[in-house]
Amino acid sequence: MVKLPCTGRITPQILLKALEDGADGVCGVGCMEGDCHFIDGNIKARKIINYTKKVLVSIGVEPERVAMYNLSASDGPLFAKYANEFHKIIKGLGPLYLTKEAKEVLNG
Amino acid sequence: MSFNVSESFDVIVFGGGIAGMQSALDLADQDYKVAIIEKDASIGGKMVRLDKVFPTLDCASCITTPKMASVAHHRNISIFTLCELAKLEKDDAGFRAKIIRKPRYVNQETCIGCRQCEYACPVMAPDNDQMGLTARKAIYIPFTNAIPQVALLDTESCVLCGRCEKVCPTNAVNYYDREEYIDLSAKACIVSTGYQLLTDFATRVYGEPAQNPNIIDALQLERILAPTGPYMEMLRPGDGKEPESVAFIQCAGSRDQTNGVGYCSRVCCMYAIKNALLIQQELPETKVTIFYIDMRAFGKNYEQFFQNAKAKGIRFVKAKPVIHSRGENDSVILRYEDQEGDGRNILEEFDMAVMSLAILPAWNPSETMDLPVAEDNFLKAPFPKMAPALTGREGIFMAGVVSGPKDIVDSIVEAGAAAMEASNYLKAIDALRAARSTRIVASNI
Amino acid sequence: MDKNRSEKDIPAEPRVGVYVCHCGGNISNTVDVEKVADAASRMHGVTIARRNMFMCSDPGQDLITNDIRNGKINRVVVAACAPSLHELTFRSAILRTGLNPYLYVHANIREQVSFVHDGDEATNKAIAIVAAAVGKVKEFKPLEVTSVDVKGHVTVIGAGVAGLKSAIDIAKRGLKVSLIEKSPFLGGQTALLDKLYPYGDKASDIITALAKEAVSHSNIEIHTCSEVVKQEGYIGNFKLTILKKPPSDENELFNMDKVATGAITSNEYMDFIGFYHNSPPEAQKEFRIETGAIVIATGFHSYIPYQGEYGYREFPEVITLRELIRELAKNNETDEFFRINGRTIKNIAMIHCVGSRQVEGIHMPDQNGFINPNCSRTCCTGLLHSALEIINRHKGTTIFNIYRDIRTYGRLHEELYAEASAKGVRFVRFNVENQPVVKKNHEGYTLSVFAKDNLLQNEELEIPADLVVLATGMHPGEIEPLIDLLKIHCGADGFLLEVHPKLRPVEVFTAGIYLAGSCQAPMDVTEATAAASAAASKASILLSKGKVNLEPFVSKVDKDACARCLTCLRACPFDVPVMEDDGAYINPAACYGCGTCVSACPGGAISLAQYDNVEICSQVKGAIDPGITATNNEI
Repeated sequence: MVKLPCTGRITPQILLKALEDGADGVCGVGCMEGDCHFIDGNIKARKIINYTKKVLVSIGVEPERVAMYNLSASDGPLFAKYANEFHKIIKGLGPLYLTKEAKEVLNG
Repeated sequence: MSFNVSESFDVIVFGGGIAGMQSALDLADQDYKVAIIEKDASIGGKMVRLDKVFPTLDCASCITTPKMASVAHHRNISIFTLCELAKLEKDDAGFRAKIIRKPRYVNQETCIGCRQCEYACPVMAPDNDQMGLTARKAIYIPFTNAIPQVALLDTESCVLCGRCEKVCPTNAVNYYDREEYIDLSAKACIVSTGYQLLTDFATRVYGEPAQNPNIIDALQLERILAPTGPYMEMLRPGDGKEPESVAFIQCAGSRDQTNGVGYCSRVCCMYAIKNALLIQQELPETKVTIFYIDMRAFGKNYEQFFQNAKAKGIRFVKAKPVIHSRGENDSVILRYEDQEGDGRNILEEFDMAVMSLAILPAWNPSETMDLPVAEDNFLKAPFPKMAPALTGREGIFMAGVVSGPKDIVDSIVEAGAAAMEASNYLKAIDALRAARSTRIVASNI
Repeated sequence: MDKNRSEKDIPAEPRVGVYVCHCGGNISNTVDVEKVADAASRMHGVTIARRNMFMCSDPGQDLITNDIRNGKINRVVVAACAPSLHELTFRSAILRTGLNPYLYVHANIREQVSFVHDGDEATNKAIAIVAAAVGKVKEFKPLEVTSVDVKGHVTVIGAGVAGLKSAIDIAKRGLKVSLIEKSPFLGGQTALLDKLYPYGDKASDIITALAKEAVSHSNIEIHTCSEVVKQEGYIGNFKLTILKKPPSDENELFNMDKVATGAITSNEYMDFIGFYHNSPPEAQKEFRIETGAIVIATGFHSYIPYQGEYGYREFPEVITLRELIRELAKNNETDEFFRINGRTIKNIAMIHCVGSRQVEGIHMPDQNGFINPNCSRTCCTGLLHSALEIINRHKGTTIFNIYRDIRTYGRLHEELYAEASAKGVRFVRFNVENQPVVKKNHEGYTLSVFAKDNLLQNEELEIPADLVVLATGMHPGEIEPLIDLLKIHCGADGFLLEVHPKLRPVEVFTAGIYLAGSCQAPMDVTEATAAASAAASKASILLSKGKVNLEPFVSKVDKDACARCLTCLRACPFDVPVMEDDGAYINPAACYGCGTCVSACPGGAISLAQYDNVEICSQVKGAIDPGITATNNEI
């Protein structure tokens, strides 16, 4: 779990770097849309995550490996539900192997 | 009584528990000089001796010890431990307090808290910081997180063998230490002397059957459950076995005019639920029952805590049980009326019983200061609605259980209120004095 | 902090100390803390790993400060509870040594590990979190705290008892106060009461005393008919836009009519309305207030039963406790029977917990789908106080209390319960699943309440009644716009959320904003004024120093790399960046530190302290590959 001040701080770079370093999936977890402490950081994050999905497709990686979830800070059980849900998806996809070409794209 | 003031403060806080510490911090953060007078060898009060707190289940230490550290490191706060008030007087200049400092027999300035004396001491005595459930040495540091981390010698149990003095690397042990008087002056006072439990209730009311080692009070249970407790696990004191059944007896002395305690002690429902859950967590097979009159889960998020406990299988029985007799292996046999059933009297055996004893004020001002007390023996609140932290005397404010039982949240809030009232009082008298001195200067011209 | 020393003491090579807290069993009962410390000691960059029962205690803090003072470490990781609890504790401990207090990461292995996982899974996750923290802290740079001047002025929102009390306390402390009240009257919901339990003080006396003091205090400026509509700025320097408008609410217009008829004049109290200060504005106008701190005292919303709930608004004989209080205040008669509009009341049935302690599946949610599971704290004693007044004045009237638990917890509350019992008030205890039912009656009484008494083996009793009184509870205030404006939060119960109920009960997560009274949780007048004073105390602490230190977690532009493309100006949700001749500038005092601009900047010219790419990626790398070596460092 990586704490960020706001999901608006998420960039494709951070997400892809995590995958490159060995993560099998990365998800952003932000406030409910419309409830952002910083007005619309979570909406910007959703856009960034959707963009990252496209990048993944272009290098032959399942786009489900990145995802965005929204919940309110007081809702612990929902967080656990989403965490388990995402874990299940990633488990279904299996470990991530980046091809040499994909790595080159990411580093280039 | 004569006063030779040795140190002057803006405010003296009597009692270094959670309420007193919070008041002191609020004032010290506004640059007022504060003295905390604490009768024990460490600040921290009752709260630092608790295990976890409701309804968040934070460990009590996690909240108290950082506050203790903030108090200890604050440049505007001076702590006087093992000190008690002998007399408080007020004149035009403000308050003068005569404080008795009890001998520690260890030099507070030179002791480094290395515990060599404690390791060397051959004597064992009941450990009051563990509610008498285990033993400690005759010279000891009260508990791991005590502030100050300085040893003290208990002369009642000391055999004067001299070993501690020999091993002390800083020559801090002083058998010739004596009680002494310290005179302090201040412009305002806060009283936050806290509570004690009605400890003789069970034996006084139920007689011989209550003299069972497996009947304990809630503060003893807090120690047993605490990670720094006497047994390091949930055991019953009688034989050190894991109890298979535990009963909590609510309103033990409270809400009972025949005891002179007609009021509700306000915190027992919640701590019983909390302790029941903690026992269940540690011993999942143990059956936990809470005997109650009314479940008073009135605070923020308290009701859910109560409902959770019900859902988790804690048994709640509406009844006021009596301690009937002692069973085999020192079990506790209770008799109660099955109020929610057919009203019969039931005898039920438990491995252990915990009394939620009534809360009484820890201190009565009558000998030492002129401060009105109400019929319930807590301090009188002349303006309970508009200014609950005001006492019946100008310049003296109150915080915490000294004005009636209350939980930690309410005590901390009230401590802030007492600090606010005190700082406004200080502001007002400073303005008054400034005006007066201008007048004197003016009249001299 | 000794600035020279802090900079001098950061050598190129980070030496990290990892301190694992047992949290008195909260962590160590689940997580193998020994294993965590051992793993940490073998992570790259870690020189020492230690454990303690309570890291936050003084001896625990000493472990860290001694290691720093002895030069063993220059970076700190504390693996313990949630950072919201003790990040500040450890930061101040580190500060005492002279090391920069921001070379520290608080790794949460309690809420994120021991509270939610078990066994090896827990221990392994704790190791990963510690490794991530070590990865992050290695990349940290010392940060300098900026200090800004603060305005010696506080804005109190809401002029009920809590707001009035807070305003007076702060004004006495020597600070200026603006008291903002939405209605034309001061006194809030307490003004809708008469005699207050348990002492019988008159609400009118209390509000009049507080309001007169507030009105006459030269430091207090009162704005009625006013609301906050915009908030800018930051701790110590908030800028509020206030909208003052003529009353439009039906109830307010009705009350203003009384003013128009001359029933009350300026600075006078009127029963069940409040304290009238000055005339409302003729036309709408906006003005700005520059203020150092904000105290929220917006109170609660009194639950209104839905039509048909226990016969409410179905039978005229079913009223709420508030309505009963108004009836009781109408006269001081002491006849045999209590009367309402000349109607003799022989029997009263009082139903407790209406709109409180609600259970899904049994109670109906309100129009927002909200079920209130909480106890409203004040209704038991309130009901019994009114019951006693009726009994004391009207010997012939019989009162039944239909309750779940009697919660007379406070000072002199239980005494009211005892007195009511002694004077013949009857009590019927029901289980929540057996809801009482109010029906029309046949013989001599207008209504009957059917309740199953669980102390009589759930036998159904028919309680004839001429009057049914519902103890309606306290729901969270309807202040959504204000919550959005101030960027504060509610808990699951809908009331405003404090930082920590015990450590910081009157503070919220946004610095410089404080909570007073029942906007935070149900409270009676005593509790609300105590909380109001506590909030005033915190505001005084903040503003009495004249300066405040700001958290350094803000964005900064590297002007050399800035292409002046204006992207950050568009990205920032708070319009903080401004374009200067040599590049964009972000005022550190105004920056919220959300990092949106950092993500948006195409040139990578903006950095956010502790949340830069290098720090985030190093943290991720640590979590994925802890880099544990075979060699053991010091434990």
